[in-house]
Amino acid sequence: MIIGVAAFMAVAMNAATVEVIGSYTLVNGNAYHPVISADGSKVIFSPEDYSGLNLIDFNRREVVEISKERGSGFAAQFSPDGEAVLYRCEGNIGRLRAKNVMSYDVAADKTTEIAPMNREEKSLDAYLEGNRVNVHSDYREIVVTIDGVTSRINPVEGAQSYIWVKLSPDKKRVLFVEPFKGAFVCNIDGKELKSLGKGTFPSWLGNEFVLLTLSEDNGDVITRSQVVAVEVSTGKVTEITSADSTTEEATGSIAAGKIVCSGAGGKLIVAEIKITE
Amino acid sequence: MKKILLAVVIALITAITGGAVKMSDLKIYINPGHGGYGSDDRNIGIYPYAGGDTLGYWESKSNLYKGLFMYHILDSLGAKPYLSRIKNTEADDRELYSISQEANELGCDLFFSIHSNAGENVNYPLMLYREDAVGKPRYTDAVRLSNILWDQLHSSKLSLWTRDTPYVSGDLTFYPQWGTSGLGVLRRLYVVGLLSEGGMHEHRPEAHRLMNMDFCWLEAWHFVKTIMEFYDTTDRFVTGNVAGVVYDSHNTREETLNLDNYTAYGRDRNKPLNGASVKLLDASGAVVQTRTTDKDNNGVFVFRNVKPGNYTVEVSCNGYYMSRSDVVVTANEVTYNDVPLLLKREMPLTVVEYSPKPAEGELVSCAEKIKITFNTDVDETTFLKAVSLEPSVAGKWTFSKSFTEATFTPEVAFDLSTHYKLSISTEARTPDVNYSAPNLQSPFVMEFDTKGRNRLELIQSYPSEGDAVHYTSPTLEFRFDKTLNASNIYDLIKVTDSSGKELSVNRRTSTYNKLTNGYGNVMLAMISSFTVGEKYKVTLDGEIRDSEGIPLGNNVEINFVAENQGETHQGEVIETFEAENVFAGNETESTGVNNVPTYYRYTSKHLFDAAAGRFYYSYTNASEGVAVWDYKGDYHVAVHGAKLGMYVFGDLNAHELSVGFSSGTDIKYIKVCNMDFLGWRYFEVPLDELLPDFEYLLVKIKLTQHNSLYAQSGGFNIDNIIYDDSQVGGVADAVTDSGISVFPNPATDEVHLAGAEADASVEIYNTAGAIVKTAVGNVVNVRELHSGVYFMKIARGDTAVVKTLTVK
Repeated sequence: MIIGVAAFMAVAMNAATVEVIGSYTLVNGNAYHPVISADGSKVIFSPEDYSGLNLIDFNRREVVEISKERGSGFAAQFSPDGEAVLYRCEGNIGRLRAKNVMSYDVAADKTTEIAPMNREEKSLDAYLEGNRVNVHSDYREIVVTIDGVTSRINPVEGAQSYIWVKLSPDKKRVLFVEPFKGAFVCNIDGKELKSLGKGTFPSWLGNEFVLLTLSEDNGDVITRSQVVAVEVSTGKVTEITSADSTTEEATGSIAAGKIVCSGAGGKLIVAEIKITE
Repeated sequence: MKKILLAVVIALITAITGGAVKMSDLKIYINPGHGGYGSDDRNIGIYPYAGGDTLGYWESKSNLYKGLFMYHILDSLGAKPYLSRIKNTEADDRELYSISQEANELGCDLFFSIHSNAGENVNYPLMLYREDAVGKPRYTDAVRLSNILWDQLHSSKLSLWTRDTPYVSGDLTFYPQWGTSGLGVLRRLYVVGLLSEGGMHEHRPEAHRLMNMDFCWLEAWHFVKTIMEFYDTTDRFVTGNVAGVVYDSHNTREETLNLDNYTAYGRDRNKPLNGASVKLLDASGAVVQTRTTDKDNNGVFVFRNVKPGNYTVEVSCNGYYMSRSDVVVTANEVTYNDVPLLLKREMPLTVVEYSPKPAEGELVSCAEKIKITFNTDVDETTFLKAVSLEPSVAGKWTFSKSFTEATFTPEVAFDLSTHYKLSISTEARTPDVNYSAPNLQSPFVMEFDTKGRNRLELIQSYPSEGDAVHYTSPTLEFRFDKTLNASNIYDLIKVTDSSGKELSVNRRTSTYNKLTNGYGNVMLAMISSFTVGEKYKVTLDGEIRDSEGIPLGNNVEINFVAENQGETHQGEVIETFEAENVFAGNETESTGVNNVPTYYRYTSKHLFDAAAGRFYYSYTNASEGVAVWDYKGDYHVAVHGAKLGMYVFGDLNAHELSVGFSSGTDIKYIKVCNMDFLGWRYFEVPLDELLPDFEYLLVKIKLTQHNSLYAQSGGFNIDNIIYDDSQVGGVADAVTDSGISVFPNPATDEVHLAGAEADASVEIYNTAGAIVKTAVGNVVNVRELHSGVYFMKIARGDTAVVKTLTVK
């Protein structure tokens, strides 16, 4: 089945089989960097340059503009219950670049600044009320904070740096990319390192699977990209979109049976998946 | 007033709390492009490295050096630098989006992607910033940053720049062919950033410099200084640098760069000195820093981080005189001090070889160049004063092989049949002014006599002045009295329309030097058709030269007009040339030919329908050849007073084309044209030479050779042949002036000769001219004749009448 820019493939996951039973275009243009809520009912997305943040509810299908601010689309995330969206806006402290932290209440359609302009780069998880665990990259190390106690882990020997550091939904494992060695998952203490192979834009699909984008460039521009799913326990790779597609980032919710991919031209394509035990 | 006071207070608070920026406040992301030694890592072949040698020049390598140096300079200033790679292997190629992601995640203040650029004959920096749409920068600060960096890199005097105005562009504007993609590394970046293309690594002298660590360090230093200027940081470099290039003051870089194939400007043409010892001495004479220029033929040295003050740069190199120069070092600046070193020749100048050196009585071509070879490089200023040529000839001296060869090239040519004498006085010397006797040891004299030809002659052209040229698929040809020097020949002939616009020539299908016996030619196939009625001009440049170097001398201009030679004309088309084999070479009647002339149905060049007829010939000698073709198509009667028209595609060989008409035993050839043109032309000839009262059939085409030293073989085309008897009055099927008509015609059994006497004598001939039947009377039995066309010669008193007869 080929709809829009993405040709979705069947996903075989461990003992379960995930089959793409349908797909459709959710947003048709200028929609990049999708993040789906844990319950799969909402997606936030932004323009390619992250200058703005929008939300779409699968039921209402109406796009709500959360922010027009520069940088607000970068690494924005839902609260675990999906009731709030946390994001940053770009500004200045004196002549230096800084960012604040904003919280958008979905139900009330109201935005509150929860941290003023600062130059810290810690995870937005750190600003979630009641959250005990958060992780973020500090270039050559991953910073882990548990109950206010901060430690640093360096799970990959000889790592150049760590990027796309993401905590699993159950907060037990960390997903990240080492730029020359690929994507990895390790325990929150940095142990039990598992290589997932090359890839960018990693995101968790439940606690057992990771979505990755495989892309190639010629040194100047991206020439092709494809979304795959990797089973963490076995490392098994399954194509989600076809090898000749131009899908770039993917976000998924097993609970809702949805994978949302951003594609060429800023389309958001939704694959509805059926899980067979 | 309250508002003003408030503004002052706010400004003060800003200045105190956050307005001033220190280098230690900054987070800088450095992306030294992609890594490795692969096909996309820009290997440039430079001496002495073979292509693909990882020890040679690779953009991926020099980018990394610059990035690493930038990292360390920033680190030393307390800033927080980040590098996207620290090695140069294929594994160091990382996804472009992961680079911008990292800079975004780290919250960097600035982003620099470090590169160099392609471009062999130019050298200038280029800065590219991200645009969200063409003409719409994502960050206006990125434009400001780009301009500062451009100025910084361009301020370096180690490179010789070919452009002095800033070249700063948005990526979408610069790469329209990539649509909205732009530069991948900037596309997802939301940090003020740029991609610096630095200088041109394809410019060979720059590639040699990019091999030098000091050179890369200085570029990195300029990057850091750009950051300081961009933020107007409170801290600046408290030291300065001294940079320069050590090179031979006179000799060119013959071994390390082929200056005939690659571009070099100014002192980049001079030989850079490897292994030169460069010392920086302070005011007390103490050595502060030393450098030895590397082995990569760039001569670059940089004394880094020197305290401000007065210094001396002392340079020594084996075989050269030592050099000392004073420099002043200023904090936060670079002091440039190039060092040309004088080579020790320590010998007088002598001539070791020269040409021409004719044998006794031998004459020299008027296009010959005078070449003098010395034992070492000659000082060109004193040489030009010392040399004289009698009689004088307009021309110029050039120097090659690092000034060891001096060559005189006449502007046009030497005069013909002239005695020349060249003298060099002892004023000429080597450049070694430190040596006591650098001058030419003794005066030098050489003499020669020139031949009797000094101009190339245009002997034939199509078009010639005032010609009309058929407008479609035009081909022009120019013939000369000697084989041409064909290098850049198509650049030396211009075809322009009446507005002066030059028309394009199809170089792939154009040809040259296709004539025989040492003659030369150029045949130009034009890409586009001409416009009917438009006036054109072809200009042959006086610089067109033959294989000996003899020039045409003056420009030749030929004016012509485009016409449609394919217009229809009155009359009946009696041959369309659409069928195969309507003509065939006649072996018996063709004389002086290498082989039997040939004929083909020809679809490549035709005027009407799908084909024309193509006639090939090859004469044995330069004159007296005759090529004949027999007509094999349907016969058509022709009579005195009618007109014959035909469309001919000439071959410019000037041979005479004629058409043969038969009336039985008698064949009359009527000239159509001389083939002194190229392309299609329509000819119409009256058939007045045919005898009255005779009926004729077109039976032959003949090409009679005109004297042709340079074109004994060729081919021409004929398309439709038209017969027009409108001025005769339909003679073929009526009683003619002769008063005799034949009926029925065609006939099967017998024919009646109306108007003939009852005892008329009748002879019947076939088309080959053989008599096949005789009869007496005005009714003739033709049952025994084979089907075909015949001539009936009917006696009438003392004369005769010839009528054609078709027997079925």
